[in-house]
Amino acid sequence: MPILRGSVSFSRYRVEAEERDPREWKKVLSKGLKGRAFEPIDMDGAEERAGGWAELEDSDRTEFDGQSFLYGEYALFTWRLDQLRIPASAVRAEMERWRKAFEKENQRPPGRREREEAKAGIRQTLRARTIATTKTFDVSWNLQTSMLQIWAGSRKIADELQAAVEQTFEVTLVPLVAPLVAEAIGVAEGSLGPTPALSMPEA
Amino acid sequence: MGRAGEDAKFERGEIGADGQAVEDKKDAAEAEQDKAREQFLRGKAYLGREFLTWLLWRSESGDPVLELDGAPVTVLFVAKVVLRGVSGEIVENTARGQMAPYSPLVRRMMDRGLLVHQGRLRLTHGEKAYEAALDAEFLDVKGGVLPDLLTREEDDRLLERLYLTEQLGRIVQTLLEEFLKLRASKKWQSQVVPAMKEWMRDVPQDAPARRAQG
Repeated sequence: MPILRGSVSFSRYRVEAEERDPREWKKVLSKGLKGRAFEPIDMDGAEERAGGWAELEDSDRTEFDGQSFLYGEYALFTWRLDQLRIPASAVRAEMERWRKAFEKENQRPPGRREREEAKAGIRQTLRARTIATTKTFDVSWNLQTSMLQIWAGSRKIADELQAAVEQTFEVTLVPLVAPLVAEAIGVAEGSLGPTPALSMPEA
Repeated sequence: MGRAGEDAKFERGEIGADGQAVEDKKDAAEAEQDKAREQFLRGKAYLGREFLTWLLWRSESGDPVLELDGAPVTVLFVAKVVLRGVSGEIVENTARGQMAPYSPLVRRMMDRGLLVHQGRLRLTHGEKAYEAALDAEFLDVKGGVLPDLLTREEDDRLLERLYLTEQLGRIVQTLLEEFLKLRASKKWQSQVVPAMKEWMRDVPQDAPARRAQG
């Protein structure tokens, strides 16, 4: 839970949404979090990745009872991401074992379709033996200032969470990057070109 | 291929003095330049690079860069800067060392068009000191260190951490807005850019970094 301890890595956004009073926001948040709560990977299915909202202080909890996600003026929750990683080396080793057995039994090498079917079966077997890894990425949303932070060191994860927040709560997150901040403070688009003397001194 | 054949290819410009095909080298160099240009333009990353470069120049004196909530904000680049350019043989250079960001070598590279793409900054607001790495494209905060917490209760500590995190974001935001307003003014081209260029060029051969001297 990086919000509570350790060094801080986060991306910053401004939340654009229709105007609501705090009570309405609480309902919207509660409904959204419950609607897209984390659900574990179905071990009988084919998916190898599952993501959803969980409570900040315990990512096994997804009830969001009452106002458990509210801390003063902040809404705090976490994106739980479970992944099954089947090692490619294990698949390759099992495939090699299967190929040898096949050739011994059939006196010929396996065809493409046979190899594909065997590989799918091997993956499924290994999948059942694999334990999912769990990672959590926190979100802090100041409901008074409409500023939101995604606590992730990776840009790919920040983009995934930006999309998840936007879909879950039907809001737009405006990243606080230079061109969008320029637009927000009224700097004309026409004056945003590069400064040649700095970037291209030899041009 | 015989010596005569090699000489003929060299004459025609097909191979270099080392016997390697010129086209391959040219393609690799062109691909590198294309990538540098794409990184420069993507999301107007050059704006963030100019921001961090301006901040490096502006912070060298050690004077406050601006005031926020009535308290001065001072900036110090520490430990490491990544410079990126869009033309020339060098498209990226990393300088490490506590004195590296303000060093003559880094200033000379900036004069050649390599601007700050990533840096680690110590931001002091009044009596509170923060530290964070920033990148030009997204201005994401990475590996940030907050001031010591004053509260003891766990819930209070959480809220204090959130407050300090927001303050860190506000400092970055205020510095960025100050830069963008300045950049959009006439002063940028007529005074600021020439002063920055002069600072980049005004580097005696053995000059130590001024900021590092205190």
